[in-house]
Amino acid sequence: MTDVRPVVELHDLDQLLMLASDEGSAAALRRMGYTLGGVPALVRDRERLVSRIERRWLGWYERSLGRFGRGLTLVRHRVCQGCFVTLPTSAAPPPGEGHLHLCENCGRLLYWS
Amino acid sequence: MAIAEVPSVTGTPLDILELRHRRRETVLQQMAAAAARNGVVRDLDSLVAVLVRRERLGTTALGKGVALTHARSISVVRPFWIVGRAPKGVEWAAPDGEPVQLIVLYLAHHEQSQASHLARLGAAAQALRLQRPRQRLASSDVATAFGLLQGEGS
Repeated sequence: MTDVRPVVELHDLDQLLMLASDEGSAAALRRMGYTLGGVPALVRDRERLVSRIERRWLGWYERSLGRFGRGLTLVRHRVCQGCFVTLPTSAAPPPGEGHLHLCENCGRLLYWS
Repeated sequence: MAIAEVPSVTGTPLDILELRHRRRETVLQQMAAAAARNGVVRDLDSLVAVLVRRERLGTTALGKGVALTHARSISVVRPFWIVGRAPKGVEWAAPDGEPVQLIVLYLAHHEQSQASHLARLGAAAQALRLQRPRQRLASSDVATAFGLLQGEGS
């Protein structure tokens, strides 16, 4: 079983990078008084994180990111929050644990906790 | 069930902290832990990681003793604000070189749109730019602080 945390961190980092690289958002942040010079450092962080993720999950992550705009989607009450299909009970993680799952209906990589 | 255990339906999504630490990373950890105590965090370590990376992108200190930091994370269960007060000041690489005494953290759920996230952040940044709301935040209660950060009464 893969470690979930690097994938979760990668998802949040990608959202942050999108915020910083989108021209409109970056301009809005600069108007608020922020500086955004650290993008290259975050790109290096991303490379380090990617090297810690099992190849098969990384493949699903990148596919979800390219296709749906985010690499990871939540499961809430056993429902994929991307396509809203109910997932089988047998796929649920033990209570208190988070795990990765692939939605068989839409192909999104799911974070089920 | 004791009355104290009934969750408030009108509760303000904000907490106020007196900060003990003097280092930026430790303050971020303390604030993230406070959010976790309020039940709005799915994975504390991942949240701390994204907050530290946000600082790596560029300091979130705005000058005049204020930092407005933020995260849009899958580890956040629902939007939440934390106001941290550090009378002794925390070194935050501020553009004016001054330590920060007021740190505001805005946590957004990852499904919140980028536009909505920026709008809330912008309202708070605008309020924090003015002296009066800054002074009021340094001593106000939860409800008043929340109103100030939404741009009310500034």
